[in-house]
Amino acid sequence: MRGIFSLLVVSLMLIALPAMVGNEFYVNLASQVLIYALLAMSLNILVGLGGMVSLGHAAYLGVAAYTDAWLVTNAGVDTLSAAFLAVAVTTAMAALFGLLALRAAGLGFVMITLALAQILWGLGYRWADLTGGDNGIRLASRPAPFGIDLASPTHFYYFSLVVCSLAFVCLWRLAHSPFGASLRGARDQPRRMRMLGHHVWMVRWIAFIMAGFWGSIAGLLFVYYNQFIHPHSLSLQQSAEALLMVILGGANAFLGPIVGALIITLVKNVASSYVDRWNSLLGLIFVVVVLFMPQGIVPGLKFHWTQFTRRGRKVFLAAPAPPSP
Amino acid sequence: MPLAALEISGLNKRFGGVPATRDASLCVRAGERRLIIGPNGAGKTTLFNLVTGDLSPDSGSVRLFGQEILNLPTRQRVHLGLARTYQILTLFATETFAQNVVLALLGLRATRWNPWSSLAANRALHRTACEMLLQVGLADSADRIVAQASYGDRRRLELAMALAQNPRVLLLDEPLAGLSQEERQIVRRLLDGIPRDVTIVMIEHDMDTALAFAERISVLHRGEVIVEGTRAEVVAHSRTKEVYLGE
Amino acid sequence: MQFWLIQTLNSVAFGGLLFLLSSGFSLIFGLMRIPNLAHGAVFMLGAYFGATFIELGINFWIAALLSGLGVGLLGLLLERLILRRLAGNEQGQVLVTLGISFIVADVCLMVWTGDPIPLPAPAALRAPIFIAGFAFPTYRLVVLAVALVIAAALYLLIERTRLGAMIRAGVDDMEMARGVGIPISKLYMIVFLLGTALAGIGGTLGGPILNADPGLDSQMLPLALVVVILGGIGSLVGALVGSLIVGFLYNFGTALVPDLAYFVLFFPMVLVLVLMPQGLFGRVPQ
Repeated sequence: MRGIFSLLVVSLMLIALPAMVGNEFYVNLASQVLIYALLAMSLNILVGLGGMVSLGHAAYLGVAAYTDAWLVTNAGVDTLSAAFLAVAVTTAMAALFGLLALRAAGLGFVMITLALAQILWGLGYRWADLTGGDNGIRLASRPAPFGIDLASPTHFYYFSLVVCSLAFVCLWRLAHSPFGASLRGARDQPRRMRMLGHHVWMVRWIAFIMAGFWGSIAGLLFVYYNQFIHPHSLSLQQSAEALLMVILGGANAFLGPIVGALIITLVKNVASSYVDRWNSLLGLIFVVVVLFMPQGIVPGLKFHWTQFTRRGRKVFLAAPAPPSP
Repeated sequence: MPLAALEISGLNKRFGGVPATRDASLCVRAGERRLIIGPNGAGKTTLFNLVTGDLSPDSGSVRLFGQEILNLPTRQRVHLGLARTYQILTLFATETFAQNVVLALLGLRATRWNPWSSLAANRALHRTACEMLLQVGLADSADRIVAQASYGDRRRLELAMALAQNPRVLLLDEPLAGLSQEERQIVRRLLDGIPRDVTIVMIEHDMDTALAFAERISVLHRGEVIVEGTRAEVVAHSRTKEVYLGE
Repeated sequence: MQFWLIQTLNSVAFGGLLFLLSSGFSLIFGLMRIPNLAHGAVFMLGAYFGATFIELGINFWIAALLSGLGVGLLGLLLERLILRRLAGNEQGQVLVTLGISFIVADVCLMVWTGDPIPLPAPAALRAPIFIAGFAFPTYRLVVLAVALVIAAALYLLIERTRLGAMIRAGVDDMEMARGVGIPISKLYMIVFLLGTALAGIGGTLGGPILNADPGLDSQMLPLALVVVILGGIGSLVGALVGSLIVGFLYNFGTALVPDLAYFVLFFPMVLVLVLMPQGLFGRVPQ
């Protein structure tokens, strides 16, 4: 019951957000948070559920954004078809990359995902005829999927909110589904899973494709929001930011990546107004989080919250604390 | 001649230059209780690993009810009715007992591919999981986290998971290892209670319990099956004594 | 004809640079199981150090050695202060090296600004050398020679010295090596120092060819990864062969199909991953 109540409160706050903050800047910031939250959540299918660390996740955001932008500006394709094709192409690419990356486990997997994304990044810069090179591709106007006008920050925010909410529902169901349990099992004891009849490779490959799919949706939102795509969005730095959001918030908590996305996006926006050295700060946060907060913020908060509420109950109800789990 | 449940022929495996399994041959009848014994390093677990597919042999054949399984990946051997417990426990420590059994049940059910429905809401699956736990006397532990349970309880859980797969051939790798006298008796009773449509092949060091359980015994030494026969035959055989006393 | 000969030489020289970069990476990964994602950044740092030393009037070759030393010391600090605290946490170690790479790259940007700095090749080597009537860039020949000499030295170190025997033991079986009493933490320090120093030297030596440029780390790191994926982890021969292959592919790719140069790297990588996932000279995992 408490879970549903909190969900309701948060939903109401999210819906009322534009009215509450008033300033367009913050509404846009909220849209950015939603986009990165979706990117981080999609990565967490691999990292949290699957135990597979990928340093090439930006590839899915980037390729979807580029495909959509190119189709719309260079091929005159309509918004919906371009979106559909962008997602289809990116998901197919995820399937291919998954085949390659899963040839190695653990650190080999990390390296292959990194190398594959870097190749795309290099192509993005060099193949200027296709991608515009360092100039990127610019959308003339904000797309209007299903005829919905997304030009105003508030409209775009609500659109992102709807898309991300749907995505989060799907990801929640995934995490609590038999497939989700199989994926976690494959993460913890792959040998045992095989001996129980599970197809460990297939489970991982499907997870890889799902991560690419949801990453491509984030890519669409990204290019709709910015009306621009540049090779930097395919860079290792972008992949690293996504990964940092996951581990900062906590890979093993459903809300972890969302919290991580919120913090990183806020810090990035605030920091860049004061200081030019976002990259150093990013690197520093990485080092600090890995050294001192490897489980991430949400699990840490949960722990302290349960400690606090248990102690709270003890004080206010003068009853013995409930037995530890 | 009725179909053998498990027929191992001429299995060979070398690691580098060292032969771990040498021309191993074994034939287990359906419903039989077979014990595999041998001194440390004899290659007993390696033999199991070759049968389950954790290792690939250099040559030889393994037939499960007449079907060659060496060319099949582990999961397909499991689908054909093979199940196994391990010497070293590899359970899902952060999950509950029930969730562990559910994972075992899922391995053979198409629903394991379902990315949408709630697993917790699958009452039928949970009921079956609890029934399996009941069979091994762990009904009360359904919601206990495995990492917090005793070693003996975890051993029984592993047995429950193996039985949940409705195996035709069950490989048990030292199921009594590390258990107290009382726990051994509990597990022994459980093993006795397993119906005859499950063929059991067991590796064990605890002679008292194992010898009483086994119908036929195979003695492994340096990767080879050197003696095979009924309990009486094996115990009396000179090579058995040589292998055990000569070490 | 001249074109093909020059490109071949360029490829092999670039392969030599790649070897300096990836041999260190491969050693570190092979022994310590850490893919040092800061390796591209330390290569770049080596280039910048070299540029500064040369500007201060220091002899080119000494500048290269000093860069190697400087970068190596940095690597040593990284290993002792940070990586050691994460012993056993392989994932954490990877991520930390990633963080360090961002910091190093940004600091370079701060100190040396964004304009590429060309490193002048030693004066004696600037004039082309004539072989069989064809003109060859002398410096690149020398870079190739230096890389081969270092490769030979590394080979002798690994195969013929006690230190090398300890490294090989650690790469083959860490548990056993520990059990036999090999001083693992000292070994880690030495290998990390050596690996990063090699990258630093490579950075300076590569300066006249690649320039000290803020994009150098992002350019070189994926190449090092592809070299190691192709050649196999922990194998010096693999690093050499892989470096030559990637050197050829990347160089000819850039010369013939500049837009698709990275794509040319993609296919051999795919081929190796599909057919021989352990790399050409790597060990098959048990």
